[in-house]
Amino acid sequence: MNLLEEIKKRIFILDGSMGALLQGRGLPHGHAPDLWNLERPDAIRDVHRQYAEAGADIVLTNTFGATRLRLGDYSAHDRLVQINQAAVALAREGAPNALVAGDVGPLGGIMAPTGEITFDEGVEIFREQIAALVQAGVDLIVVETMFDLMEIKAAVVAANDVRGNTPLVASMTFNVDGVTDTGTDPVTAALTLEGLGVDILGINCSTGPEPMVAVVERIAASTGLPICVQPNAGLPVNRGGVTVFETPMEKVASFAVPFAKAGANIIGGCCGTTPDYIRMARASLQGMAPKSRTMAPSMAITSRMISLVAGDGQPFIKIGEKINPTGRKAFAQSIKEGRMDMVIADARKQFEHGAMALDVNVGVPLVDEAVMMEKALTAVQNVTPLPVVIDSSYVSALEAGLKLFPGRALINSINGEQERLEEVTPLVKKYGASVIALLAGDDIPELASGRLKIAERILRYLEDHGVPKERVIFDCLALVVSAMQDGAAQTLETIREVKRQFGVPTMIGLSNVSFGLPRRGAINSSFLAMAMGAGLDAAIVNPYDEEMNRAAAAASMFCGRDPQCRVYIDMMEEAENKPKEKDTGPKTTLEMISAAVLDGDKSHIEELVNKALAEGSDPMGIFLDTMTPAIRHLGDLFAQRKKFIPHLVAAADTMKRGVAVLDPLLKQSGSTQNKGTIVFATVKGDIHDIGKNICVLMLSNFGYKVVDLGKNVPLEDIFAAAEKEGAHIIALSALMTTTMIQMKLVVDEVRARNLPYKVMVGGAVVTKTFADEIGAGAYGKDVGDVVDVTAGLMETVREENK
Amino acid sequence: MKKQPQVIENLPFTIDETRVLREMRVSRIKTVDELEERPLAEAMKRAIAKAYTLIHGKGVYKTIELGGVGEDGEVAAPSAPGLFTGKDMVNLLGQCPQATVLAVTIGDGLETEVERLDKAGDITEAYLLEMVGGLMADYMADRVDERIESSIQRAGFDRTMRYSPGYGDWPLERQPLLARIVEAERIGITVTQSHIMIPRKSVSAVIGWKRKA
Repeated sequence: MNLLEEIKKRIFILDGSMGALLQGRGLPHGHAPDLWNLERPDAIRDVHRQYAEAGADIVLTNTFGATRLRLGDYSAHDRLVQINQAAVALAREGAPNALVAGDVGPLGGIMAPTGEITFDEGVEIFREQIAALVQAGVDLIVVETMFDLMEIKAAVVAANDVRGNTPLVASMTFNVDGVTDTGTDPVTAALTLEGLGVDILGINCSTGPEPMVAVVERIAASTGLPICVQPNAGLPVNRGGVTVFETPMEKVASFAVPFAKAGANIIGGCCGTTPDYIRMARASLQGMAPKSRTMAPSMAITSRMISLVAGDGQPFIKIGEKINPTGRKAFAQSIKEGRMDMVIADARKQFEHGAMALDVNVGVPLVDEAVMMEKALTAVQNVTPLPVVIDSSYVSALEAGLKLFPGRALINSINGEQERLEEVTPLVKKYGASVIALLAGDDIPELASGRLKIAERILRYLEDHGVPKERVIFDCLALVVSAMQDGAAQTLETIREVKRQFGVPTMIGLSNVSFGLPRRGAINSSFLAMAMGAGLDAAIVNPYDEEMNRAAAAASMFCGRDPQCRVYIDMMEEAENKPKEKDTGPKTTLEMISAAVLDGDKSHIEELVNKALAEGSDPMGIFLDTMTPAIRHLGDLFAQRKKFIPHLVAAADTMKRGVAVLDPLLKQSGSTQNKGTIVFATVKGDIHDIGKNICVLMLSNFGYKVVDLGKNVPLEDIFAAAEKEGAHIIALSALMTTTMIQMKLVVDEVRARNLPYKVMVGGAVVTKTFADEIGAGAYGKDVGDVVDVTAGLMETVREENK
Repeated sequence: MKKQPQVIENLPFTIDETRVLREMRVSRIKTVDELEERPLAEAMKRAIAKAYTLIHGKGVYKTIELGGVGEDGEVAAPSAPGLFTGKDMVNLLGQCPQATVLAVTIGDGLETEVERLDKAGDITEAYLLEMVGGLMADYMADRVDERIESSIQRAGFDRTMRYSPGYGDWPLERQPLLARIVEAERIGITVTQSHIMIPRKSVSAVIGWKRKA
């Protein structure tokens, strides 16, 4: 029987849960069900028999956990082949008239780049099990309960390696939010798996049937592949060590018809479902044919979380060009040193500027490009959700990237050269990638007709090697206009004809057209609009070019790529909402100093203070009558909760820089003031002191002499410094409950030795109650009140010294 | 049950401006652009952009069996004796058959840069970056927490709240033992003599598996 043909004609019933029935037959808690293939074959056979009797057309082997890692948890990995083969035999014996599906569950570990299992290791682990199942003669393979797109990709690559013509179902698990636990939505999953060449898409577990109907609908709307759905009986409940499912079987079965209407071709059950459920589902589907779905595959690129489709009526795809060392010395240097900071910065910035995918090219002479590609793609995935274009002339770098990227990546690129086609096509096929095909061979044909010949040749080659045309986007080659003014017409003609003759989407590398000319944004945006008018679907662009961004958005409305002009309107609204500079009118230099302190404008303060001095302002006046009132005012606003700690920090930092200019002059004139001396330390055991440093800065700005002892300061050093400096106050900061106790030791010592210091305490975990308990002189809540608290404590010192 | 801890080498992240502002206790506004003070807003944006290049989120977690409250009145954990001490642990884990211990970090890149900025006298930049770091350590803990919660639910249990050493009466002194049990060194975390985790921007905690009511 040809299953893939048959499931278009009638709905197949897959069996229900194995686990629930084995528990009922005495499977102990914590025992691997897979081991029962050898230990209790009668029980396994009996479960299959029950499901077959209930009407299952397909039964799943008892091999969900029969991979090396999971069997390893029970020291049974050496019996892997035996366990899988026994499982297939038992399914055949128990359900002789049903199809036997080799069941493959998750690895039991986390795949790179998230976890430690490399792609190759993952593939090897899956291959070992799937090969055993195929050898034992399964009729299909079901890879199921997958959360991680990377892991299912490894499973599918492994299956494709060994399955021959055995059909493959790849099934993922979506949560109540309609995405997998690692953030993949159903459409992205479907497009990625379609690219990998699976035969049937699946959804199984874990929310119960109700939310799964919408997931089936979404998948049905994005691909023509058949769909398999296995709902579980809702979330389980653990009762006395036994996992039970409390959703009634009638309820689960009542969704069989909605699933079929949504587009399911195979319906079974997952955790908690029973033969009764299968019986009911089967009965309710009696006479119902699967929904006819004829959607052609799409030219898509995906990441873990985003899918983009290239084609008419789809949003225009802007691919960011910036992660590329060409003409960028500092970037090239960072790659040479193996640093990813510039890759990350460009990834983020392009994402924030509206890039929809990122071209990643780390081609620097003498670096191991494969290693760098891995690093770069890991870094890019850590900070953006975008699909990527893996761009390298080295096949090793392309492959390294494809192994590290969970989605359907776009390879940049192939062209008409035979050698390149031979090298890259197997990667496109194996890793389910899409590919950019440059319409050039040894050179670029001047005329569109020449480029179209290459297109035809490339498509034929790919088709001959098992890669359908839906995986290809043609780069129609935009040439430098200053060098070849006739070139533009040929590019536009190529775009039109490629789409007309082959129905394949098109793209260009845009920035090239304006090379060597001034105001490149104007040129790029004009040509982009023209090319979009000819049918262009995507371009590699400079996303920082706002002129280009506006042109792409505007042209999208004319090309049927922005229904209701929604995207354009949103984009313009967002631009409107960008902050505008405050119009503050003309100001005197002193007013500008005051404003600089308030705004935390530390890059201009020194210049302003020097200007004020040049204009004849008195240094002490600038300090006392301009900067101090400004920061006091800010302190008041802080107290009113109108300004916040970052304002205080930035203002204090700014003032410090201004004071640094004034300081030599104040000292010269002998007009420095000292409102009191404070020895400030972060206590022993605490190795972090940024809060203390901010306090020191604030107090220094207010005219105190602050001796900063740093962090992790032992008691004896604090007292030695206090004595040497003639301190009035010892100020202590602590961040941990374990180090706070040091504060008490200082207070006790001061009291015991009758020392003349007041002790002030503060820091993350320190409370007023604690300060009172240990008898501290004052408690500073945060950097906002340290100035006032110090002033109050200094007043006490003065009173007592009268 | 897995004997090996699960290691997450890369926790993808985004730095949310509203959360950054809240971490700095700036209320009312949602985006940095709403700050009236342009120089401060620019400094915050630079700090966030820089943080992206400096943060590397990692996590590790492991589920261990619990033995209920023992005769000594403490929560028993055969593979982690002496870890879950105190009344709060009895309240949190007393009824749980198992618990997942976890540790996460954003790595040492950010705090090295904070130190450098602080030493160079760039206190605003140091402060802003430090705040982003603190926020993101919690963010990473939330991401690992979600994974753990999902496996707890799929096994038919409810989760307890996430509890860290230093909360309530669970002393910070348990930090070294917790780090050892979860094998925190696998993601580069060590614990100082004063029980501080290095990198500082790390979080360790326990989540109990609670039987459903």
